[in-house]
Amino acid sequence: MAILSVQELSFRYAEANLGSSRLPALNQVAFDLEAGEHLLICGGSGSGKSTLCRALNGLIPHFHAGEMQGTVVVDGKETRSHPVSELFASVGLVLQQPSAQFFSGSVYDEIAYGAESLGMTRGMIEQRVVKTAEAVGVDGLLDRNPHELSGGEQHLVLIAAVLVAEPPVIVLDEPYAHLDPVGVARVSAALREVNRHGTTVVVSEHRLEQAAQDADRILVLDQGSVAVFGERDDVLRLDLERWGVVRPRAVHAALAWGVSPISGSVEELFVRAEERNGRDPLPLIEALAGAGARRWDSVPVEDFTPNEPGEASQTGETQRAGEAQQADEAQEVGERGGEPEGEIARFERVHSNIGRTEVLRGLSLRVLKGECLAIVGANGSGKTTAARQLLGLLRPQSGTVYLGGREIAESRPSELAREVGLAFQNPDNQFFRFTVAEEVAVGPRVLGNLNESWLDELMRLFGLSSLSARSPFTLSGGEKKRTGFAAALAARPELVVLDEPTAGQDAGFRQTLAGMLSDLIRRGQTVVLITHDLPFAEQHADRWAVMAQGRIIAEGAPDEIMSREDVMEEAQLAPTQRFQLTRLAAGKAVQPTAGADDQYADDRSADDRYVKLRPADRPFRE
Amino acid sequence: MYVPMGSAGRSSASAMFDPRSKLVLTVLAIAGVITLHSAIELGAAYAAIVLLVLGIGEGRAYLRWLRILSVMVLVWFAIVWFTADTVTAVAAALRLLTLTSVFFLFFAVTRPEELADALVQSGMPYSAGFVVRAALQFVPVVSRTAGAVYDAQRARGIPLDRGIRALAHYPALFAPLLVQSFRLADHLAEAMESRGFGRPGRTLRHSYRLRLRDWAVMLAAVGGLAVLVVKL
Repeated sequence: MAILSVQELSFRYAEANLGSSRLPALNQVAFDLEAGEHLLICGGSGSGKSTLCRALNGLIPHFHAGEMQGTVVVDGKETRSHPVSELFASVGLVLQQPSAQFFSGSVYDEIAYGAESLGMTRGMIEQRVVKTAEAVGVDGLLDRNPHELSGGEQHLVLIAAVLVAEPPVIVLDEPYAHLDPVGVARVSAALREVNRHGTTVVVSEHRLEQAAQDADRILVLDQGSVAVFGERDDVLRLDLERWGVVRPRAVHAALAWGVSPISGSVEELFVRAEERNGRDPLPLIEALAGAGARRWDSVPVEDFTPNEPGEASQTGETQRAGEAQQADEAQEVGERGGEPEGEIARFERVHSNIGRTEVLRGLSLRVLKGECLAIVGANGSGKTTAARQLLGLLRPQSGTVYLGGREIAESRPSELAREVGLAFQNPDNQFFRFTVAEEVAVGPRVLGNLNESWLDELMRLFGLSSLSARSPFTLSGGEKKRTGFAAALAARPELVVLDEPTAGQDAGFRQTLAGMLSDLIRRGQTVVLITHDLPFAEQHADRWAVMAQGRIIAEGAPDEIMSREDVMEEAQLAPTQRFQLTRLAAGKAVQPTAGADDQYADDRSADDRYVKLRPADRPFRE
Repeated sequence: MYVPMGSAGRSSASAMFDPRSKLVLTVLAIAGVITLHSAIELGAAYAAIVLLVLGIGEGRAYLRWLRILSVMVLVWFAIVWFTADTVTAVAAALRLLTLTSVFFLFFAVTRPEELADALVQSGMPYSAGFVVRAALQFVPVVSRTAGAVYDAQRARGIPLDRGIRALAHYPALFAPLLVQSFRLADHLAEAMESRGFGRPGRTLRHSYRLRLRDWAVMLAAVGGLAVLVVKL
């Protein structure tokens, strides 16, 4: 009998938000899961992932009003006829935004809450809390205030807080959306461990690199309906982009190499490819990696059909794609009008505190006019704090920040906003006007440099023209982000800083943003990307500045940075799958990705986890 | 076996008294401060509260909190000074400072969970007790959101840091904060429901008992207040 059974589930929210669609959020969704399975739910923004997660634990229909049809049965309980407080012992739900889900002053109390709800004895509660905390790896945090933890730790605490009731099913809504590679690795490892002990895991997620590796089955949602549901490898073989889902690059490579299973880290897939007698993966690696470091996504996977032994290493189409790519890039460089020149901003040995914590510890960095610089680093490395310094939102304890050659010193943020546009991660923090057009114009109106034609151009550039009369509160996540970016550029600042522009966004948004960024850069706009999304950063930034512990530990071209294992390790970052393929093609050792190496820690020795490939090591090459 | 470290970083004063006796003391202290009129008396009361804050080792936290509060105290001082005189204004500012410091002291030694559990044990319905607990835990979340909204608007050039002129731009601060607070409250409610809030038969992990020292200190406080009222 299935532990989770969803039959013909449809749901339409009751509230008729201004501008919101009256289409059902879920439409005839049906699937079954057996105990111990690990399901990945994916789909573009607005596809119904979060609604489905809420339906699985009964928040829909008990907490959100609307029309529900069909049934959800978890652990033998039909959600419609059982209150959420009863269902929580059968299905645990971890929502997005962990900081909004804590209501206790310590991790211990937070985890204990679920056990208290079950009416356990005090002794049992203590046993259960300790056992769960150890299983999830938060036993060292029990006395900490959950609000003071990192994003990854907060997610782990919430996982423990629902697992304390020992539900047979646990559901997580976008657990990786805002985490850096280390956070993703920790949460992923905890979920694998929980799943290994028999708990059914359901993860809704945009970022598939890790989530797809962990899953047994994948369900793709499209506009509230099930587009496809099946075994992981079967689903990953399909062209998912039509549903707003981008497959990990490693999957593309695995398909090209014809290995099975097709999910895993790049190095694991490579080993599998090697183990196939008569199959030489190298030519295809070269084809894949050489297809363009900056425009990987533009090369269709269909070009990389698996080669048979003795077949040409690069298909004609692949070659053409590569050539077209080079031509595009050459044209782009020509349009940009040459290399960056001069300096627009500079940090000189900046130290800065937030409360009692020293966040910036001697930050020194130059931003050049016309460049696209990515400041990359793990959560908490000080990236956003550095951006706040540029606008005088935070003052250095020591050191100097220069903007346009002059010291910022005591300049007010309202003065600096003419020169620097900063789009924060959460655009909801700034909306207060009735329409998108008014919202975008707020900055220039206050600063007295309103230019209607520029605003019109921005609205077109960010695809907001048709939304100009809409309330910003009714926009989708991606539309809100675009409004935030347009608002940051509205006063025509020389420098624009985008803070985690891709966090929590789907493939469609990333593609749209990529086009907008290219447009901006072509116009000579200086752009600073603050991100831990390295695939996005390598695609768009000329130069990376790596932050760790509040200072820059390396600067250079993306590939140069990723080839320095010491830097990547100190910054707690993982090289992109594109880079790993490039390294494999060059016959160099590949360092394990932060998220992937733990997965096989139990099965292999530490040395074995590193794939060391040199041409001489490949018997099939001889 | 896990041994909790007292009250999550707070001083042992937290465990010395029952949360209910701390609540009664706070109420009596507020009543006492309200009965005081002269700046000297209020200054003495304020000094006593500050000494207690220092005594429990919360001096640094108090200074940070004071920095935020100082604007409100100064504004209050200015308003009273305009409408009355300097002496009255000093007393009014000191009263505000003392009253708010009493609350600071209470929350420095009392965790919201303790207070809520103790009140529930005294007969308050669990849902009402939990509202107290969740609301108090919600304060730092909203405070962080307010900081993020403040920064986001200043980054667009809205002059929120320039005295009286900033008042005209406060809708830019309050509107997003209000919307975000509603959203956060919604998420919190979902999380509570998802973890068994409202399920009958809940275990209260801690049992609270008013001990001799609780009664003694409450009695002393009542006596002190009575003396103040009679004397004044």
